[in-house]
Amino acid sequence: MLNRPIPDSHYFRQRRAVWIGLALTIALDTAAQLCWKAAAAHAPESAGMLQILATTFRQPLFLVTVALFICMFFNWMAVLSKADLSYAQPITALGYVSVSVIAAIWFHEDIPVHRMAGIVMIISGVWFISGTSHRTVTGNAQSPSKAKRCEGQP
Amino acid sequence: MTGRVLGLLFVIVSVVLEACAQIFFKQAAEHDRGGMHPLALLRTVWRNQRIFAGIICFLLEAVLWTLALSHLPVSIAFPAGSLCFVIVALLSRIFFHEQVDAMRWIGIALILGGVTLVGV
Repeated sequence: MLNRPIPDSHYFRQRRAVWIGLALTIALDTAAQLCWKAAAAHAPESAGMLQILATTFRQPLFLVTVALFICMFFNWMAVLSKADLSYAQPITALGYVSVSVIAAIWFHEDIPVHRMAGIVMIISGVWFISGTSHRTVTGNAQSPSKAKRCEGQP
Repeated sequence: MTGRVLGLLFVIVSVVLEACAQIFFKQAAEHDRGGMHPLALLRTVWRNQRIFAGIICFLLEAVLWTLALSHLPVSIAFPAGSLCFVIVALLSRIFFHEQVDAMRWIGIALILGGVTLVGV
C-alpha cells in the first residue's frame, strides 16, 4: 500500500499542458526580446530618453513585438489558470538562456565561460523547481493556510 | 542625480510593477476560470479590471525598463531585475497560499545567480 495519493492521469495531463504553455511562453518571449532589441537599436547612441522611446516605438519591428506580447498574454493566462505563480514564473527565466544562445549565434559571438556557467545555473534552477508539484492544492477550502501540495512527483 | 542612481531607481520601480502585474494576472486567472477557449478568455479579459490593472503595470514597466537599460549596464540591470522572482515568490505565498518550499527557493536562488552571470 502506498501511503500517499497516487497522482491521477488528470494531474499528468494538466502538468503536460502547463509545460506546453511554458515552452510557448519562452519561445514567444525570446522572439519578442530579439525584435524589441532590434527596434531599439535604431535609436542613435547620443539620444535623450524621450528620443530613444519615440524612435523605438516608431519601428515596424516594434509592432511585431507588441503582437508577440499579446499572444504571450493569452498563453500566460492559460498557464496561470493551471499552475502556481511561484512555479511558472521562475521557469520563464529559461528565456534568458534562449535569448543569449540565439543572440550569440546571430552575431557570430562566442559565449564566454561565465555566461555558460550562468546558463547552466539557470537550467539547474529550473530543474529544481520542476521537481515540485505545479499546483498547490488546498486540502480544506475553509483553511487555505493549511494548503497542501498535491503529491505527485514525476 | 547621477545616471546610475536614476537607472537603479527605474529598475526598482519596474521590478515592483512587474510583481504587481503578475499578482493581478494570477488573481484574474484564479477568479474566473471559465474555460481557456480563446473566446472565453477574451470575455474574461473584457470583464475583469484586474487584467486592465496588470496591463497598465506592464506598459509602465516597459517604459521604465527601456529607460533603465539606457542608464545602466546590463551587468547591473539583469541581476537587479531578476529580484522580481524573489518578490513574486513571497507575494504568491502571501496572497495565494502557494507552498514555496526549499526546492523552489533553491531553484530561485540558482536562477538569480545564473541571470547575474549571464548579464556580466
